[in-house]
Amino acid sequence: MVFASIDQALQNATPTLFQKAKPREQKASDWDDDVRDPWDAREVFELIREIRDPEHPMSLEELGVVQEELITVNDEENEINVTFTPTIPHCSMATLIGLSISVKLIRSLPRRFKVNLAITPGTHAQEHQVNRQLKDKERVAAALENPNLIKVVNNSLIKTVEEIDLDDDF
Amino acid sequence: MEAKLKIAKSEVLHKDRVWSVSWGHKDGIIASTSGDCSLKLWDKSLSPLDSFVHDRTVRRVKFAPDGKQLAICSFNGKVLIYKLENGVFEEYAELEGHESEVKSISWSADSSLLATCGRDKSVWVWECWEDGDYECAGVITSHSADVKDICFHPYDCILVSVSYDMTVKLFKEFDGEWDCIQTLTGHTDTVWCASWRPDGAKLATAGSDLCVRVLAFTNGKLELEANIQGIHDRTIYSVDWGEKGIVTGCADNKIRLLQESEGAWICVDSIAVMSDVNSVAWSKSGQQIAAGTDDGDLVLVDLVE
Repeated sequence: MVFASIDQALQNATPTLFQKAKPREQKASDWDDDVRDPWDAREVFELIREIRDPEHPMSLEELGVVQEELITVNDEENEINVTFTPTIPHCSMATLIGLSISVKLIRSLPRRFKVNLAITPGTHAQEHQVNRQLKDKERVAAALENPNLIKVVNNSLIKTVEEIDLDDDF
Repeated sequence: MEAKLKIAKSEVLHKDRVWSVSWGHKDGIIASTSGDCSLKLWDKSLSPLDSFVHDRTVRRVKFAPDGKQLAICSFNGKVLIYKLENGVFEEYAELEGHESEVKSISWSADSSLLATCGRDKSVWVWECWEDGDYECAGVITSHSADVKDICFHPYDCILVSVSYDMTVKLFKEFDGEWDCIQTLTGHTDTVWCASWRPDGAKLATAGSDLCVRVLAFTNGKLELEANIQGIHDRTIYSVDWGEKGIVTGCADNKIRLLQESEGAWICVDSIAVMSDVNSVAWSKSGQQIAAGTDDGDLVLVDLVE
C-alpha cells in the first residue's frame, strides 16, 4: 500500500462541512430488557462518526465522509455494508481513511459480522483500486503490522482533539 | 459417493487468526501458523508438541513431502527452514531475498526444490542441496501484482502461481531457467489459491470471484474444463485437491467438499465454523481435513463415507 506522507501540503484546504446527525429517536422497546435490539445502521454509524480525518481536526461525519444513509445492516445475515465518500475525487488519503474505518469496526463489532467496506460509487478516481485493497484482508493485516501506520490509524480513532498527544516527529 | 463431513475436533489454539495448516509425516504431526506470529506443532489429536514465535505474522507452513523438514514464510520477508533433528524440529536455515511479505511456499515432490512467492510480485525457486545448503535457483518476475499462492506439479518440473493481478501462470524449467509458458485470465478477481489433482492431470484455482475453476493439463497446457459457480458466497481462500475430491475453505465460514458427479461439479457436503476459513488441507490418509480459521481455531474434520 502506498500512503501519502503526512507533512505534504493539505490536499483539500477548504473542505465542505456537514451538519451532525440528529440524536436517535427512542422507541418504547428500547427500554424493554426482554426485547433484543438488533444492530442497525445508526449503531454502526455511532462507531465511525467520530473518526478523525488524517488532514483536518474534524470528524468523518463533519466532513461528510461517512453518513448513516450509506450504511446498511442485515443483523440476521451478519452482514454490514458501509460506503465512505472521500472529500475530493483524487484524495490520496482514501486508503488510509478506509483502513481507519475498517480497524474501528473490527475492534468494535461482534465477531459474527462480515463487513463490506467500499468507496461510495463515483466519488473517487481510484475507487476500484482502493476498494480491492481494502477488501484484501491479507494486505490489510500486513499493513497494520507497520508500526508507523498503526500509530496514524490509532490517532485517527482517538475521540477528541484534546486527547491526541502527537510526537514532534509525527 | 455418499460422503459427509463431520467435525472431529475444534479448538482455539492461536491468539490471532490461523493462516495456514499442514500435515506432516504419516499424519502424525500437524503444523499451524498464525497472525499471533507463531508456528505451532501438534500431534494428530491436537495436543501441543512445540511452539516457535517470530516477530511478524507467519503466513504459511508446508511440510516437505519426506516429512524431515518444514518451511515457513513470514510477513517480514523471510523464509525459514526447520529440520528434524533427534525427533525435534529445529530452525536450520533462513532464506532471504523477497523484498516484502512472503505469501506462500511449495515443495517439489522429491523435496529438492522450494518455491516461494510474495507481495514483491516475484516467485523464487530455491534448490536444497544434499549437504544442507539452500541456493536461489531462479527469480521469476512475471506477475504484475502480489502473488498469493504457488504450487509445484505432483511430479513434473512445473510450477503454477496465482495472483492479485487475477491471472494464473504456468512455469516450466528449461536448462536451469524458469519460463512462463502460459497465462490464464479467466478469473475476474484476485486468485487466492491453487491445487493440483494428485495425479497431476488437473488443476483447481479459486479466489475472490467466488469461483473454483478446474483446468485440464494436457500436452503441457492448461485448458478450462469447468467453472464451479454459485456455491461459495464469499472469497475462497484455500483449495486442496485430494483423492476424494476438492475441499475448499471460504470466507463464508464454510468448509466444503466438491466432487464431480455425472460430468458436473457439486458440493457434496459442507460444514460451518465460526469465521473465515483461511486454510484447508487433506491428511495424507485422505480421511481427514485440517482447517484454520479467523477465530484462531484449528478444526479437524472427518470424512465419513
